[in-house]
Amino acid sequence: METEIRNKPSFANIRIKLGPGDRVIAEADAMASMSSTIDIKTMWSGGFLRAVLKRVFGSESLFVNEFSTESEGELILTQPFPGDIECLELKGNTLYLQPGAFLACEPTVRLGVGWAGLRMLIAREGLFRLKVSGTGRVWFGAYGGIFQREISDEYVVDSGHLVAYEPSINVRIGMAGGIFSSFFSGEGLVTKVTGPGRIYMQSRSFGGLAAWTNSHLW
Amino acid sequence: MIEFTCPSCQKHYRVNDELAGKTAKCKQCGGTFQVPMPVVPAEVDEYAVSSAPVAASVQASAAPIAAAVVDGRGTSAILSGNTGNFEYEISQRPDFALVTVKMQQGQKVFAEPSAMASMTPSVTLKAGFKGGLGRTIGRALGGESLIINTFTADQGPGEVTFAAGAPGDAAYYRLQGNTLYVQRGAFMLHSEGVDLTGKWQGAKGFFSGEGLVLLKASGTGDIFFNSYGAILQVDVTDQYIVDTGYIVAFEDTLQYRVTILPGLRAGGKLKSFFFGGEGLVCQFSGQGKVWVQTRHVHSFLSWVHPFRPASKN
Amino acid sequence: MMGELLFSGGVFSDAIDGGRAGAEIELLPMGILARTPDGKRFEVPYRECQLEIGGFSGWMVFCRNRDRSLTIFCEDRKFPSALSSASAGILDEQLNDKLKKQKSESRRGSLIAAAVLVAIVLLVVGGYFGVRAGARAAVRAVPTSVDREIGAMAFESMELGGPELDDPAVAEALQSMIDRLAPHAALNGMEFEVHVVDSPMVNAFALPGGKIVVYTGLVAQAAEPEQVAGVLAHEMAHVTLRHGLHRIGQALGLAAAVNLLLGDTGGLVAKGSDLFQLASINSYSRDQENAADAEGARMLHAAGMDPMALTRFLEALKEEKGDLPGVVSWMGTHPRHEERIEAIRRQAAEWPKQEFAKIDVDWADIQELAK
Repeated sequence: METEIRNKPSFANIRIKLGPGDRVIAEADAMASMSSTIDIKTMWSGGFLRAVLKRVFGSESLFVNEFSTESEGELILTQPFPGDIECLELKGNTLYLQPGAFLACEPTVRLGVGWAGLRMLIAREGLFRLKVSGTGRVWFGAYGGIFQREISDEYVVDSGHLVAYEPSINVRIGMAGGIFSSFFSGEGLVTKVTGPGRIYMQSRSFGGLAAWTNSHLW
Repeated sequence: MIEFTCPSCQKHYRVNDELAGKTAKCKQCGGTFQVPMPVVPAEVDEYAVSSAPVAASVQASAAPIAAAVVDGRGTSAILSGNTGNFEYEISQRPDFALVTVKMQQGQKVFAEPSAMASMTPSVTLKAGFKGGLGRTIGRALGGESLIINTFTADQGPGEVTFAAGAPGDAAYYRLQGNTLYVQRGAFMLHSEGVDLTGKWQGAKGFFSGEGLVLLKASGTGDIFFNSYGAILQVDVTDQYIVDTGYIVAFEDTLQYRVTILPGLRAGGKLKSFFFGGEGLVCQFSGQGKVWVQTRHVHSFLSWVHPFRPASKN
Repeated sequence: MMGELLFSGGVFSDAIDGGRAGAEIELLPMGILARTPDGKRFEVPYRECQLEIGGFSGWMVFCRNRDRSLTIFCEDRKFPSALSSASAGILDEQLNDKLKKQKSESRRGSLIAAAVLVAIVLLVVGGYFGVRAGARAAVRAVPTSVDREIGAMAFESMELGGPELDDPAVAEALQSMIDRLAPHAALNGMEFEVHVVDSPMVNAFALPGGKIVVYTGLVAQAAEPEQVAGVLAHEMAHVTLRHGLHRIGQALGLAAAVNLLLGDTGGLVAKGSDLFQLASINSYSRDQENAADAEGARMLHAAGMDPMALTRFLEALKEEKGDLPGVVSWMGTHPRHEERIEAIRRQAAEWPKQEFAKIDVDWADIQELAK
């Protein structure tokens, strides 16, 4: 299976060339186009109950599609907003994705939904998160450009800018500065992450876009 | 050294020349690829426009418009360098530009509220009022932000990344004792040595429109500004006209006059201020640089308006 | 006693492509062994183990070797006790120390999370109303001399967008309208003074204290002097209703109000302010405009001028939008003008009919000067 992420970071999309026996799992509405030689099998995302949980809390669709072919074919996957897509090969490790970030994965990757905790709600990352684990590649995307960082000690991330993080990362909510500064600076509450581990960040946030749009209306 | 990116996930690599041509497996996504041959790296110039100047339509009677810059390339390249104060990098271009500033201990930068995306904990954030009390109040009446945020690397060297709210690009400008005018909403951050004052054109008036609200940056130091859409840099040599909604910044060596371009609209008169600056143009003359953005805020607002939930009155 | 010896966890090591992998963890007699899916083995002897406890859950155990080039980690709840017995007590000191720290951290974390939620609700609901009421009361207490000072300061720091008009005739004409309206103003102490700026912009605005700026574009646009009088009355209303001060008080008063409400309680303040700052500043403006329309119409009527002139001005602008492009039609279809025109019409309908004294000014002349 050949894969390529094109048009990064603004309108990223994944082009997958499937050969006989290759399979890839993707979000229900991720398919932009595909060859007629490709078969789709629609399944509940991780079982019916899990699917409902994911839908209600994780902003993921109820269904996932499994794409396969007996000969060969091409598949293009996209996301509903402008932004970047990243690919990571899991080797038995786990990654937590913010709601809506998951795009596609190989069938050997396990998808689960989990409770992210109140602090993640305050960090504008949602109450629930998607847990991807196992082996194989996973593709995820976000609004904005995606960049990663290996954290060894502590790092500060503005709320709404965290895309994914490893379970070894500790996440706390803190103030951006002193009380007056946090309040007036417009930064407000920030996420303080402590390593070891890797985080993925996005260079734009929907909150930032909304605030910018609103600031121009009276 | 060979620099390239993985064709599957675009992870950036920098390897010794002796690995040229070898097949390798990507550390991040597991895809296989061949290491390309070493290439003399192209100089990442300042991006510029390759198409015709972005000018509003002009009547034949108007003064001739001087040609602007040529040569467009590298609009998505990472821009990096050393300002003399600190190292910087502008990445995720051209649509979601992220400005990274690497400060040494004791250095500070001053930024717009909400601009910070992430930072190392060695940096401290302090919010304060910019300018004196009179100016502060003047700006409050004009609807502009009162606050400037100071980021100080007081516990050691530190790194801060800044991102605007709107999708678009970002650019760096070095002030050498001169002045740069930056349109409201475009200013991101500046270094020490730069004095920033507001020049605003009136309060939100009878028709609640927005005029040209300019920030004036002068002194010796560094300033970063962002745009809605891509940034085109234009070197004006004689005259140039830009719709006010598309102006990002311009050097003070240019004279500017805000006016309605005669004959721009059929029927002549234009309810410019009422309708949020549409139809107002800025006539530049002299020599200097103008930065123009390729998207117009009010056009976006009009497009998004039918989709917004009905607001209470 | 034999505890469990096999767990599921992971490894950080530069020897792995990508730097990390999941691993099967086995507690051997002499140390911890991790086996990755591709068969690599990593070991940290108990004697060299440096322990940390953390991770997102707060109970992930990290075992690092001496030079920190290798970290084996496990999130299993049973791991700490299994590690303790497998290492024959060597690591107990580190374990107890880290576990204690972690427990107090997580307690603090839950308390803060709960406090934040409560405060956010308090702030958004209570703060919104509280701040606005507080700010209004504060402004009432401020003397009008402060308005004038603020207006003067703002005027100095402002870029008008054009030179003031040389010929005093236009300014005199406008001032005469203002002088006719001023006695009917609801508040004493304001010094209404008009400045005419030579610019095609169709706009006018007022600063606290009474300075009013009118652009020649607006004068040229108005078909009759009563229409400009309407605009002036609206602007004067903003002054007597002290809207500028309210806007300032709001922005500055937020911090004071919140500090009073909540004291020193973590970063919750920032979250709440985010939410209601946006809301209150936006809707305040809208209310202010409606209030200025109403008060302006009242002043016009009291001064014997036709308040409907204001609606005629709005209509005229509304109509001429026909040939203008997309962005403009957004403003055109925006119900605001319709509402404003309707509101003024309804208000005027309630007043008894009266003779309006026309404004004694040669309007054609004035418009010529304004062009």
